[in-house]
Amino acid sequence: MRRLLLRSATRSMKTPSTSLLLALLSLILLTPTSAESARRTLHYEFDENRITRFSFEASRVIATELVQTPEEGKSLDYLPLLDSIARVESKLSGTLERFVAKSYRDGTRGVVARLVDLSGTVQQVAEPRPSSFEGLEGKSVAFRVHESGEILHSNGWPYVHGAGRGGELAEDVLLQSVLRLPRHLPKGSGEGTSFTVRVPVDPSLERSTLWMLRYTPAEAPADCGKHCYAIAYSGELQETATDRHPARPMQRKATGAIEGTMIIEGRRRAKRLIGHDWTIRWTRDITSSRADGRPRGTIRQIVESTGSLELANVEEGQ
Amino acid sequence: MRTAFGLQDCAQRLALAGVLLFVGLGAGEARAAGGLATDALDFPGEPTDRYLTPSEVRTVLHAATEEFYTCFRTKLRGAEAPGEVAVTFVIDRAGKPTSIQTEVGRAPAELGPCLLKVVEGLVFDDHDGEPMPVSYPLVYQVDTKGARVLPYPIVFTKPHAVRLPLLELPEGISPGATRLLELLLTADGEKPEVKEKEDHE
Repeated sequence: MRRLLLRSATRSMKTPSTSLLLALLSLILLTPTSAESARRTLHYEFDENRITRFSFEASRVIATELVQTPEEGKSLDYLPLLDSIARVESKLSGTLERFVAKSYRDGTRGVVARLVDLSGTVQQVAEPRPSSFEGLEGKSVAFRVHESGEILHSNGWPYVHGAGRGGELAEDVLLQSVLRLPRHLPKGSGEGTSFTVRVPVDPSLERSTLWMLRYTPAEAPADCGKHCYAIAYSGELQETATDRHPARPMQRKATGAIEGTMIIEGRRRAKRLIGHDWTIRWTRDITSSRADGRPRGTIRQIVESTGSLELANVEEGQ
Repeated sequence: MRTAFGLQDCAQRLALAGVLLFVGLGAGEARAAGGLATDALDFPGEPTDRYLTPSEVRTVLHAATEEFYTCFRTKLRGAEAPGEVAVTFVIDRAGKPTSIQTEVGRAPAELGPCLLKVVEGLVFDDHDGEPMPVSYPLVYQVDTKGARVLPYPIVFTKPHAVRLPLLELPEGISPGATRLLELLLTADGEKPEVKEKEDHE
């Protein structure tokens, strides 16, 4: 019986049709693909060996309220500080330089996006004060991104985030420069999608946002050209974040609403982003914890964020 | 019997296809998950991101081990064991070492300028982070096998602090205000010596 089975297996391996079938099966299964690549007719064109520049403007209005006061607050004079950050309006403008630093074997790109020529204003209690946002000037974030806009990984966020940097303005600009495209140019009532975006600030901070968007066709600007398309989108955002750093044990839960319009241009499936504007409204609850896990204090922040990106130029070299 | 063989053949093929499907899915997922270690955005020596990591700094310092050893060999002749020797410098955004200082322990003073010259000649990648302070010990060892400088496994750098990343605060908020929020919200505030440094800023 054993000999018969062995003979039969050997025979099946030797027939040409079976060998071909096995070879084709191996080729199909071992070819790496992104979750979004199946049947996709729309993807980003990233300029290789060139620096692509976008001019951008971003603004945020943040209302901060202490919802639950920690017991430790009794010995601290924190009220003047909370009054000074009760309503903050920040504006940032500048240039986003982007270049492809690496092309991976699976077709994804290592893209570096850098913030330069920054200027802005910050308004708290008094008149707006100008700021050069020097903590952000020249900082960059590297993305490993699929042609659909799916971000597989990113690096550099610790240099953008943190108290006093103004990095939240920059984060919107950086992420919106590679917003996930729909699989096809939307028609009629459009198509919906959902995806998760993670921002790895540091190893102890887990932060992920679920985006649920619906894309619909929009009208492209008249001066855009023949192969110009506008895609409008709207949807909901849900964020959960847990910071396990021993010096800052905090959690954040947030819900948001987003809407925007992307302008893309190109004759073929690969399209270049030439414009993008968006509005996001967040409601965030930030809770700090004690060492034993009991809640310590809660702060609520309502954030209204708007922004726009516009392709400025594409330059040879890096 | 022929029919029985035919059925066994078909069953064998299906079983083999099933095994290949299982293996292929696993391999496909492994590829899609990230591929090789060198594909990481900050892989030392082939980074995509534009920030220096301590391991990248260490690679450059280890490559200069022979030059460091030449300094010891030429300046330490007949002298007693040097004790603790270290070089401290700051890597600016262009990747150039600046503010170079040397500690020569019990070694002759001539060792310092030689080590300084070696560090001046080091080339690091340009980067988008803040100027990076680095301290690197030089371990000079003499035994029956001879004398050498051992590549030290650790490069001491200042950790990049991210304060209250989940709380959106205005750009330019003072360190004192940030500290007050940390005392209000987090379990332990910063150590007193850090507070003194912020008071002087």
